[in-house]
Amino acid sequence: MTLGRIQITGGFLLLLSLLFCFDRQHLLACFLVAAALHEAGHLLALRCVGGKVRCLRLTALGAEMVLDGRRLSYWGELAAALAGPGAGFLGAYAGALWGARGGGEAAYLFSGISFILSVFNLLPARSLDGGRALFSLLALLFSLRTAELVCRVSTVTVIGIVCLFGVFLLVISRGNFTLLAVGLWLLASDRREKKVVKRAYPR
Amino acid sequence: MQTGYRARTARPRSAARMKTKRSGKTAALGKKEKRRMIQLIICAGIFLVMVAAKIVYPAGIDRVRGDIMGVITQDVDYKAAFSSIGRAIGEGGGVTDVLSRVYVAVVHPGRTVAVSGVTEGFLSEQDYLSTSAGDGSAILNRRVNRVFDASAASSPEAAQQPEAEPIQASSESETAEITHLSAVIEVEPAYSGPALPDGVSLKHELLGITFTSPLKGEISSPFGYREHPVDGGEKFHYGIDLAADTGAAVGAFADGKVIAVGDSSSLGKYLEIEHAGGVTTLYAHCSKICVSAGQSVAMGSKVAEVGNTGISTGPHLHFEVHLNGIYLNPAWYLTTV
Repeated sequence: MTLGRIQITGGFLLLLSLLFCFDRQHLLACFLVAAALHEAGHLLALRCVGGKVRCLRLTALGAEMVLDGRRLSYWGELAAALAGPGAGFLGAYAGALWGARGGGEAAYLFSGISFILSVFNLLPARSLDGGRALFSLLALLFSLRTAELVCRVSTVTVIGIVCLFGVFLLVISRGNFTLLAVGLWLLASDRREKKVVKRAYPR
Repeated sequence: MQTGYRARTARPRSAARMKTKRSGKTAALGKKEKRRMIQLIICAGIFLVMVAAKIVYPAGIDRVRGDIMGVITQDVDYKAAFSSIGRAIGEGGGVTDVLSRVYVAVVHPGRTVAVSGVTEGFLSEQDYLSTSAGDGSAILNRRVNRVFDASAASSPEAAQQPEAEPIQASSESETAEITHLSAVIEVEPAYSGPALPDGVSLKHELLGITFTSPLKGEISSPFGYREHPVDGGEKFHYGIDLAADTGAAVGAFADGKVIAVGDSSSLGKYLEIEHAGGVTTLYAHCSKICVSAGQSVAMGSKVAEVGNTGISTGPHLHFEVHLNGIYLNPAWYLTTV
C-alpha cells in the first residue's frame, strides 16, 4: 500500500496494533520516535549529498529508504550512513537533558532507547549502518577488495557475538529470547542483503 | 531494530512495471504483488479487530497483554534498563558509565540497575502482575515509585531524612515502658557514612508487637551501605542477609497477614507479611513459598524455605523490616545465634 511516497507493509500495521493495544510502558512508542529520528538523520544527509529517495518503506522492523538514481559516492555513503546514528545520539543527549530538567521517566526512557538504537546500528555488520560506513571508509582508504574482506569478517563476528550473548541471556534468565531474536534477525537480514547485492551487481 | 536505508537503484524491471501502471491498464498482478496484497489485507484486518477489541473489551486485552508481556519480558524490566542509560547521560556520567549500563541493559537486563544506590527495592512489571493480593500492590507500587524517586536522594537535602512517626502505645502500661525505654534507646547510632537514602532509619524503633527471628543464622550481610556482591560498587542494602542452607525453614516474624507473594528477577521468590502497628516484613531469595497471599500466619510459623533465587551469590534469607514505610535495620530485632 502506497500513500504518496510512503509504503506501508502489513507488518507495520501489526506493529501499530500491538502498540495501540498493549503498550503501556511507552517502550514501543519511544522506540518508534527514536527510529523516526534516526531515519530523519539519514534523510537529511542523503539530501545533502545528492541522493534521491524513491520511497520510505515502513515495515514491522523499522523503516527503510529505497534510493533512486545513481549510487552515491563513497564519501556520500559514509556521511549518510553515519547521519542516522548521529541523529540518534543527539536525540539521546537532548532526551537526557530534558529528563534532567524534569521531563520525567519518559524522557530518560526515550534517551536510553535512542542511544541503544544508535549503538546497535553502528555495529560493523553489513546490513547495519556501521557496516556500510566501515565499507565506504575502507573502500576510500584502501581498496574495494580490502573493504569487502574486512566487512565480511566483521559481519560474521558481530552476528556471532550477538547470538552468543543471546543464548547466554536465554539461559541466564531462563527464557528471555529477545537478544537471540535480534541476533537471528541480523543473520536473516544479512542473507537478504547478500541477495540484493547479488541481483544488483551480478558477477 | 534496524532503521537503515537500502541503496537499491531503480532497476529496469521496475521501470517497466511503472510504465504499465501509467498507461492506465490494470495489468494482471504478479504473484509477488498478489501475495503482498493478501498479506496487507490480513494484517489490516487484524489491526481493525484489535482496535475494536481494545475499545469494546479492554479487560480481556489487558489479560492477554499480561500473558504476552510475561513471555516476552520474562521478568526483565527493559524500561528501567533503558531509563538508566538515559539517566547516566543526563547526569553527565562518563562514557564508561554509560557504556557499562548499555552492556547491562543488553546482556543482563534482569539485573537490578543502579539508580542512585537503590538495589533490592526494585521490581519488574512482571512482579507487579504476579502479586495477587489487593493491598499488596499498593506497597509494591510504593516500592516501584521509590526506585524512580531515588534520584532525589542523592541531593544533600535528603540527609535530613524524615524522622519516623512516634510509636503509638496501645495501652497505658506500654506507654510507661516505652517512655522509659525511649530514654535509653532514642539515640541515633553514631553514623558517619554517606547520606542515607530516602525512607531509611537507623534508629532502634519500638515496634509495639511481639516478634521472633525468622531464622537462626549468621548475618552474612548487614543493613546499610556495602559493596554489592554481584554488581560491585557501593549500594545501599535495605535489609539483612542471614546465611542458611537451602531448604531451611523461614518463620514469620510476628502474627500477621501475608500481603504479597511473588517471583522477581532480583528478589527471587519472596513474600511480604503485614503485622500490627504498621510493621511489614519481607523475606526474599526463597526456594519455596509455603503460604499464599491473604493467608493469616502466626508468629514463628513456617512461611517459606531458604533458597538462592533471584540475584544471589549463595543460599540466604534477605530479610527486611518496615515501619510505616520506613526501612529499619532488622538487626535490632533478631536474636543472635
